[in-house]
Amino acid sequence: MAEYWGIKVEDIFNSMQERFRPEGAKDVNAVFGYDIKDEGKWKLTVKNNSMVIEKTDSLSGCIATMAADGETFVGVNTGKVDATNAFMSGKFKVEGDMVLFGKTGRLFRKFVIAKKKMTVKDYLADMFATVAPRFKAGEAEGLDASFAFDLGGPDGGKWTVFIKDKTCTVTTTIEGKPTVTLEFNDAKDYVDFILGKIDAHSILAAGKAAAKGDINMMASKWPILFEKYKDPMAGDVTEQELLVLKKTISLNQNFSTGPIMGKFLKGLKDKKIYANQCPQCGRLQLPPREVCAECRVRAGDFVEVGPKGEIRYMDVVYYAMPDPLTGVARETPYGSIFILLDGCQGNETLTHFIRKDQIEKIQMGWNEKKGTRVRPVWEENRIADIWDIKYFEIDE
Amino acid sequence: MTKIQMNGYEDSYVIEGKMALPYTYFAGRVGSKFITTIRDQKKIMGVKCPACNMVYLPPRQVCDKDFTDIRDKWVEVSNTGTVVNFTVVRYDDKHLPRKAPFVLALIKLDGADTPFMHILEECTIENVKIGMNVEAVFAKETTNTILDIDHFKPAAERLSVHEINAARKQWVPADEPDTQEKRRGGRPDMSKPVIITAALTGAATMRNQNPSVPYKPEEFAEEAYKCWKAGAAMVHAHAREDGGMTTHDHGRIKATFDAIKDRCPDLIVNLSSAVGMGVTPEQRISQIVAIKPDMASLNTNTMNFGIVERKTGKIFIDYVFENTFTMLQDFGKAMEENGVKPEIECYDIGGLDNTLLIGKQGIFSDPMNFNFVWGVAGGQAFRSEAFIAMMNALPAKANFTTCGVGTDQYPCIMQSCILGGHMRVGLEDNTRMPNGALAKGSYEQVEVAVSIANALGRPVATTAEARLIMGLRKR
Amino acid sequence: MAHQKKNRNVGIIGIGQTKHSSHREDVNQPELIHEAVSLALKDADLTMKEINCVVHGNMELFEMVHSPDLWHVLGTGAYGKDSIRITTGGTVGATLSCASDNLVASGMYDIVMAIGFEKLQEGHTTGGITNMADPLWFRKIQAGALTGSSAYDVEREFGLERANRASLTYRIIMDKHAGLNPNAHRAFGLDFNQIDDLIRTSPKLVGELKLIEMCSQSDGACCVIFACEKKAKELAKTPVWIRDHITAHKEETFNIFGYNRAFPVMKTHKFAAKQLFERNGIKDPLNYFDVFEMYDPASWWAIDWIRDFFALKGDEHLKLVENKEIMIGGKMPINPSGGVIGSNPIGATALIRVAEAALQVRGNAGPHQIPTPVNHALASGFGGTMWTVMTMLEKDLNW
Repeated sequence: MAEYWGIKVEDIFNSMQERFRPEGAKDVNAVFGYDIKDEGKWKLTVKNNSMVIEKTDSLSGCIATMAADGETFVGVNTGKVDATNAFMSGKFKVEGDMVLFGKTGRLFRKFVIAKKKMTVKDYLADMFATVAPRFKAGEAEGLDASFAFDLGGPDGGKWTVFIKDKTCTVTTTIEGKPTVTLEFNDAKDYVDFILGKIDAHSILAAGKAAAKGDINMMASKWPILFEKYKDPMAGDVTEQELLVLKKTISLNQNFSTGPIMGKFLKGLKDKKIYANQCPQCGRLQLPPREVCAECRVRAGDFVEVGPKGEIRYMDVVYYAMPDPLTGVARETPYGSIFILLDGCQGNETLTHFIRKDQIEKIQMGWNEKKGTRVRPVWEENRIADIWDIKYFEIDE
Repeated sequence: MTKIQMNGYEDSYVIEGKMALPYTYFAGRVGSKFITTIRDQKKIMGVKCPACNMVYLPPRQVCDKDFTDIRDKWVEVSNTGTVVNFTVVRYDDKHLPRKAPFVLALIKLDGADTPFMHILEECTIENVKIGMNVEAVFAKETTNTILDIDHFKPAAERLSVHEINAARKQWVPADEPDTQEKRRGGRPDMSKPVIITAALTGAATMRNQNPSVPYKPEEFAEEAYKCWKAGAAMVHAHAREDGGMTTHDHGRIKATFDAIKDRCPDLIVNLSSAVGMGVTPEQRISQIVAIKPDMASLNTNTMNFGIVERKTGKIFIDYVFENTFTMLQDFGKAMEENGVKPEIECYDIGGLDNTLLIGKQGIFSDPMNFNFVWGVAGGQAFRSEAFIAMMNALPAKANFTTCGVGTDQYPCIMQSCILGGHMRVGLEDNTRMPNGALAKGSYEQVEVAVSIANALGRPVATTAEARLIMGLRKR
Repeated sequence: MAHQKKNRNVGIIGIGQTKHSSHREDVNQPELIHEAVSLALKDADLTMKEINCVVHGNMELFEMVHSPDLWHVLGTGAYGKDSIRITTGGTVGATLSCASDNLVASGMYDIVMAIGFEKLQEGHTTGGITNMADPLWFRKIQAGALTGSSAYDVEREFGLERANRASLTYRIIMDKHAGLNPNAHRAFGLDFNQIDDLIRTSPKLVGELKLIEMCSQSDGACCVIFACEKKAKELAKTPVWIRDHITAHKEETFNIFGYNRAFPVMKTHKFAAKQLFERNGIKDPLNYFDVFEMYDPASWWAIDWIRDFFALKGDEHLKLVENKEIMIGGKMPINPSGGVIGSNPIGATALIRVAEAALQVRGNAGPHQIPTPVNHALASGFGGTMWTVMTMLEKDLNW
């Protein structure tokens, strides 16, 4: 199986159980399918705040199925590939209930790429393996010296670095009489010292290490002879924490209806829908407005229209938007309808909502073609508000 | 269709509306660092514009006056400040942070140039005054906003060294100078200001011993500023690399020197002519000649300079600190010729004698400035009678200051102050306070030195006075 | 003959814009603005000292910040200067350009800086837009900034399949353009062979309007520096001249959907374009202009609007799209920048149209520069209850 960023597709699925967040699954009871190109199919069942993932041959019965290639799937799950971009560009697709599939995002904790940690032994091996490559021959003119390292502790060992005739060799023993010998009680301190986590003075002062022989050779010459050791684990610079505040602005307001809108809203209380008419061009305005903007004259006279009418156009809204009154997102989908009430013509439509379960049955109008006939459903307790009409429903 | 006439304004009425909108605010790098530093470190950071020297608080990305990009120019300001204006909020509203009545004060923190607004509590409204000193009280629980400082409260009234100095007459040399006779009689001129020096780093003190040791130039500048504020007239600095190693790199030493001078232009900066092990005499003196600080250390004898465990005598580092007569002569000449006043370091009385001997060539200008150093493994430990012997051996016009490693520090400076000498403290010599706690920085030890001077009734020297006393070139 | 009341000519001498992106957690609002302002000053080789007036704009409620012009001073550089804030719906950016043109043309200021900006990730765009509507009734029942009505209209006229394909073709052309523009927010690397797939899989937002067809929500800022003719000639190698601009408003109500040919409504794009071209003596705009930076909030609207702007007949507008004549290298390149679909920091968006059109005239737009000479450019803005701002740019003072 192919690996992407060192991770197999299976790793993502196999870790799902471990990454599962029951608190994210509260309102999810569904079966989701994953079709990963050239890798196989998986079925995820989420029920009663628990989950089961299984490899399968058939994805029938899934409410939503996502399809992608292995690289995209692993990339999106590990944050290596931008999910929005992959989705928008069609690199991964979702068939079925898109909204429900969207909730799978909060079912799991993020997949974290486990980085192999280097042990003291790994470091020591790496440090001495890179001694020769880090050697700067140009600085060793005429030098004949040997640097011995006697590092104790469970991971310790012995090394000698010989420099002669401008070449550098390393052995894993200490032989003869080294020019200088560095002794550490615990090799871990040596690793920390080389990585710059502790400094020489404090190790020496604490009696954890000692240097014998030509100390100056070790203190002054070594740093010139060799390039500094680079920590292979370094480079993971911790990103600065960036603060993000989330708030809801909530303000109370008072609006004056004015006489025209006041008349319209009070009409609703009496189950009457009033439009007003431009004395010049004769068009009706719904809801009524003080002036006809086209003719720039006052529009005073009211006429009663509807309450039944014909749907000219309906927007089926699939995406959630917040109710500006509460900040809470509306439930989707809903149908926002533009109704030509009886007595109106042309573009004199009124906007309202259609009964939720009737969205599918609505025919929109178009030029000479008629749309579905609807009627208002009134609230019991009307308070002179647009919500005195609960919604419109098909007039059968 | 029947037309209905409009009825005038009787149909008009008022209905209640509401607006509720979720939003997000990204604080950005600068704003985030400001708040997270308050939250995690209880430190208040501003930014300083290098073009106009304004220290802005809260910090911002650009200087609004000259549009200079200042997002990386962080400086720490004090948690204490002054009320520059205030108002009493006497009405309640859900958007206000406290119930009325409460005080909103414009507070200019020490070290900042711009005031910012916060809540002032823990005092009666009647007692709030413009000019009062206040200090930040940090919140127990974070909100990731400026309310991570919960409020400000009145700070204890305490005159700073600078306020005291501003109120007294500047010291001028008396007609009759301080004579050796007077010193020997134990009756020095106690009206003479005492110069406090802060040795910020040395070559050996590391962060793991005390996290306040500065490594970077800007850290040196901050630390020097705090010492100056606490009463130091001079700082002694050994430049470091970012990782803490001592360096003889001219660029780095210059950057460190400049950073201190930029932050505290008046402060006397004393550099070292001993810049770590394994460097050549040329490397030791060339940086002094290149940078020409006000003052620099001059070492007087070749000696052991090791690390030895005090209790057991076990040798950890055995190192010979080479300071031959030739070096004493050459370094001394180089300094005097370049207008750098040597601070003559005596680790024992022999070093003092070496200086007087080589000084017969006429290298050193008056007044000579000696530093008696105690407690180096390889030099002498502090003893009162040894101190007096050294003092008595000084040339007539010479000044002396003193420093001691570790627990020698406070006794030796106290003796020096009593005898009319000066005092050096700092993390180079000792990482701790008299009670054994780690010092928050060299400045805390400066505060101890100031209290010693106060106890003995000696004024603390201003930088101008220190220059006058030690015969330094004027700024 | 341009606008007759213009007292003196005005040229664009500096342009700067940020890289537009979905998230800018690393900067706050003034810091983001500062990036664009710095780039524009650098482009014009000026400092804030030379700027006489700052015209600053964004959308109300989109970032939930009150008096942004006040606390944005750190980024705009308006410290101690005349500064005017403008907010006119989606056309903010275009109005910034108009206002700056007016301020310089009138003789009030020699050099004016216009700054448009938005951090849509901070506020709630749809929530903000709903608050634009009448609070007594329409605020409660409207569907925000999105509507599928254009899609329905095009579908009814040309059939579902042709309409869908034209919309996606336009969308993919924009993506290809955005791919060339280093500042563009969204460039997915789409290809024409994905059309069928995208029609099927892209989630629907409202009616036939799909996610892929809708503009992005971006964080970004744009800054343009305007100067009088004398200063422009002194300071800039190739100033871009503003020949004319026009704004056409509509009444407040959105309540117009349900198209019936017998009762045409005023379409402000058509109305504005007709007047602008008439008073400038342009008989065949499709031939006259070399490039058009159009405010295209969604690909459905875009394909429909091409007909309105250029007064095209029948299906000429669809053919322009289908034959890829609107691509860089085509007969009428539209949005070489990738357009609003590519990047949409709303308060800056319409100013970016002017800026990108000016860059094309200057000839140094970058990888998305169109290969043939650009002498005449057109930019449009769109906002609120369907109103229009148009700006004409010229390489030479040719009127």
